[in-house]
Order: sequence, then structure tokens, then C-alpha cells
Amino acid sequence: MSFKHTLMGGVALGLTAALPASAQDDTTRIAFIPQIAGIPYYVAMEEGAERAAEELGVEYVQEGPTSTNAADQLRIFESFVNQGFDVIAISPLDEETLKPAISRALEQGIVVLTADADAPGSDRQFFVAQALDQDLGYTLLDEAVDRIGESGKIAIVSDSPTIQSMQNWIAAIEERAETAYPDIEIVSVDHTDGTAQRAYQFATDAMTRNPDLKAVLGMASTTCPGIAQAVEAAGLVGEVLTAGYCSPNTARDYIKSGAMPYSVLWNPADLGYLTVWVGDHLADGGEITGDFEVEGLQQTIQYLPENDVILLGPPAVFTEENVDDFDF
Amino acid sequence: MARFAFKAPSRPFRIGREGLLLAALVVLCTIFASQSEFFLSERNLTTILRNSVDLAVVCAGMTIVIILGGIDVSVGGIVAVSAVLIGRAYQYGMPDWVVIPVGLAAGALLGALNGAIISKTRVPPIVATLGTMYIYIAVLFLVIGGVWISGLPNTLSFLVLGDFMGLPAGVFVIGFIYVFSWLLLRRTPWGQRVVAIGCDEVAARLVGIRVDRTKIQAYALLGLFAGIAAILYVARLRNVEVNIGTNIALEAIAATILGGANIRGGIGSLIGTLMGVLFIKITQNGLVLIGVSSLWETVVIGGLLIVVLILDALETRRVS
Repeated sequence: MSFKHTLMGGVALGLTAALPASAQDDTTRIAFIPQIAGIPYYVAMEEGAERAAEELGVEYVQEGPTSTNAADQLRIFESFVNQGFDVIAISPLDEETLKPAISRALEQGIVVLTADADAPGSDRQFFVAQALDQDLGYTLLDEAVDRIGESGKIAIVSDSPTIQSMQNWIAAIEERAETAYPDIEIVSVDHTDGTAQRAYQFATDAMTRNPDLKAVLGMASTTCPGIAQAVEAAGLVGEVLTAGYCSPNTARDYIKSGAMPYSVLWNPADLGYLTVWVGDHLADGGEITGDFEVEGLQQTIQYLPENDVILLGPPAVFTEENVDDFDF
Repeated sequence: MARFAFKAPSRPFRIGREGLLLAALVVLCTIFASQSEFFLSERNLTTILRNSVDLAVVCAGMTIVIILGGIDVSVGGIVAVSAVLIGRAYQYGMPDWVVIPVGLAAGALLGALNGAIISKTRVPPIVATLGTMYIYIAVLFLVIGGVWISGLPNTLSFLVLGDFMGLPAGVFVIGFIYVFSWLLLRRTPWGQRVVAIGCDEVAARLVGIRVDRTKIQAYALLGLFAGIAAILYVARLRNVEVNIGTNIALEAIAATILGGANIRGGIGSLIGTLMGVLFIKITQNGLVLIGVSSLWETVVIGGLLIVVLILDALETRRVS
């Protein structure tokens, strides 16, 4: 067979291979942009999303920046717009950076959701929320008060101050402290660069500055090993409580050692599942007007019309008893 | 090779630079001590020291590379790759005597790779190491595979957290690295070659110095030190996170420049660098203790860096 024939055969093969793909062109394509790639939390979310995508017969792609960098996130968002995705969901790092791009995507008929974190000032259609910021803030502090009592000093260690959801949680904790526990004092809020070392440094410095410190609360999974290590290294396990919004995997060792008796979060796999379900539902022309049930999720999904929030459910508390049931 | 004597240009201001930095440190400490009763406590000073160990180790290597007329912005990536390999080795149940060489070898190899790219392709070091930094970070992501490595053994924690002869063990780690580096730089022909290349690379080539080989060795040494820093980091925090090493390169370059190294090469001071490290770590610690938002630390460090560079520029103008 001549080279030309081979070539022709190849082209023909290519054509036939391309045909079914173009026939399937109406397959809904859903993209999700996390705040950072590669951390277990978003990997777990991806697993749930993939499961939903398989069951619903849609295509799902997840891609995030390699560091919590808002400009990189915008670049990825725009690339999904240019690739003609039907639904783009994003966990925004910085609302202002994304606002214009979100509006442009909507003008092109793309369904734009926020999931995991919100950009309430943007034109996004719905926010698929894991749990309300207020519930998360209240739960973390209430659980702390159960263990340290209704008075004492608490330090907060957070990740980058540009992450809106963490700012909201801090505000909710502060509000809860003011209204429900007047003798609880939030002595400091510090922001790390995402490394365990800085969290360790901030927690140690907070304990030095406040010898009577009762708790250190970490706002991100990136902060949890650092603050728990700091308390262990200072030999203050049992005297200074640590807790936070930490994935079970990052907190597990410290939950078991007693340095971090509990962690508050939600099930990211369920959140990913719900995000894809909502995206597919909207892309098919569906509407969301009230609470609804989703096949594959146990709890009823709440719809909060005032902010167009779709709520997965109440926060989960991970302790020694249940932490091994989760892997993210 | 013919023995060759090299005399660094005399520069009386250099003593002034170290004195200036010492004065800045004293002022900084006085402010913090007057605002916080805890600043000068033994526990806090120990904390500052423990937090400085890994940066200080990297900075010794960075000083040598900057004196050579180079720079390496990929050290954070080297620390990250070494740390993730150390973490994986521990997960496979390897003992310390296997894990340590793995970390050191990874660091030295990646450093040597930087040196080879820079010397063989003549790509400016800042560009070459920017490129390798991206590659090293990608390697970190590939090896770590989306799952943080945590709960590592604490068999080496004593290197950072322990005490030895009444002093924090970190003092001895830093002391060893800096005495070694100083001897290498100031008491060996290799050190003279480094300074000579930094002062005038073309002249160094003409007198027969094997510039490429020296460069690769210097970058490999910095890589080796980054490997040591990775071992110390993992020993202390017992986990490897995705963001590991994020700010090490910037902090190391800032500390080295603060300490009197000239970014154009030829001039640098290990003692000054060590003071630069302390300046950065004391600022980070002190601001938290006096209750100032940690966001200000970059302003303080950046501000002093600019002051130092202006002084350098004025000095250069006066000399010429």
C-alpha cells in the first residue's frame, strides 16, 4: 500500500472517528475552577462531580490555578469561555477580578455559577453553597465554647485575606462572640501565605503574646497542620485548643493526638455532585424556584431566593468518632 | 591551575553596612521590647531562632551564589521537590539514613541543573531559574498527586526543636552551616574563584579559572543547602503541603541583599546575611506580638530593602 493510500485511510478513519463526536456536540460541558489545584479538598469535590457527570451523561472538567492567584483564575475562566463550555462554575478567589468576565460569559449564554465560595456582587446566576457562612462561623465557635467554656482569648489564623469566604467566616465568628459570648475575646486575626510554616509561626506568636490563650482557630486546611504542630511543640495540648475548617485528612493526626479535637467542614464530594446537577439542570433550561430533592444526595436541598443561594445542608463536625469515614 | 591571588576591592562602607543593619536590628528590637513584654522572653527568642533555621541555611548558599554574580529564584521549588521526596521516602518506611541522603541529593542535583543551564547556555540566571522554578513546582504537584503528605515521623525534630548544651539545637545547625560557608568562601582557592568570577567574569576566564565548573558547583551547593532546609522543614512541621517553599526565594534574596551582598556580584557578607535573616524573622514575629496586622511585615521589609539599595546606589556614585 502506497503512502498516499495510508494517508487517505488515515483521513477516512479520522473522519469516521470525528463523526460520532460531532453528533454528540449537544453533550452538556461543565467546567469547575477551584481556588487551587491539587489539594485533597478539591480532589474530593472532583470525585463527586465526576460521579454526577457520569450519572447525568455530561462532560465535566476541573482546572484550577497552582497557587491561590486571582489573575490565574481569571485566565482559566476565560479559557473555558473561549472553549465554549455550557456551564462554568467557579470558587472565586477575588470577586472584583472576575466580575466583568462573569458578565461577558453570561452575555454569551453560558450558565455561570459560583460554588464552594461566592461572588455575591457579580452577575452569577446561583451560588451552590456547602453551608451558610454564618452557620459555619457559629458552629466552629459553639463547638469551641463547649470545650473551653464561655470566656477566654481566641486567636484566628487564616489564609490569604483575598479569600472572601474566609473573611465571611471570621466575621461570623466575631459576630457570634459579640452577641452570644461576651467574655470570649478574639485577640488577633493573621493571614498566612498558604504554608504550614507561617501558620505555625502565627500560632506560636499568638500563644507567646497571650499566655492565657485558650484556642487557635484555623480558617483553611492550609493552616491546620501548622497551628496543631505549634501547640504540640509548645507542649500545650489540652491547654490550648486548636480547631478549624480543616479537611479530615489534614486534621486526622491531630484529632487523634488531641491537639485538634474537632474540625468543621462539609462533604466536598456532595458539593461537587450538587454543582454538576444544578449546572446540568440549568443548561437543560430548568429552573430553580424552591427546595428540591437530588437523586444521589440524602438531604433536601434548600433554595434561598433572597441571594439565589442553593444550600447543600448544615456543616459537618469531624471528631475522633467519625473522622475515619472521610477521605479528603 | 596556577595559584592566583585575588584582592577584593577595598570598601570601607561595607563595615558600615553591617553596622547599619545591626543598628536597625537594635532599633527594631527596642521598639518590639518596649511594646510587648513577651518579645525578649527566652521562649520567644527561641521561637524566632527555630523559625529562622531553614531560611538561614538557604541564605548561606544564596549569599555565595549572589557573590558569584548569579541569583536563584528557584530555591523554593528545590526545597519543595526535596521535601516531597523526603515525605514520600518516609511514607515508604525508609529510615533517616536513607531519607537524609535522598533530600540532600535531590537538592544538590536540582541546584547543579540550574548551574549547568546558566553556565552552558549563558541564559541570565534570573530567567533560567525562573524557568526551572516552574518546572520544580510542577514536579511537586506530580509527586504529591493532590494529597498532602502529613503525619510524618518526628525522628529528626530535635535538629530544630531540641536543645543542646543549654542552647536551641538550631544555633548549632546555623553555626555549622555558616562557619563551613565562611571557610569555603574566604579560606579556600574555590572561594577566591567565586569572588573573582563575581567581580569580573571575563577577567576570571582570562586568568584560567574554570568559570562554568565553579558556577555549577556554587549552584549545587545552594541546592544542597535547600535540601538541608527541606529536611529541617519536614522535621519541624512533619508534613509537606502544596504551597511549601512559596516565599523562601524572595525572603532569601531580600535577606542576602539586606545583609550587604551586591546584586551585581563580587561583594557579600555571610554575617550580614545572617543579620538580614534575623531582621526578617524578628519583623514577622514582633509585629504579631505588638498586635500590628501581619500585612505590615512586607511593608517594613520592603521599605528597608529600598533604603539599602538607595544607599548602595549612592555609594557606587561616590566611588566612581
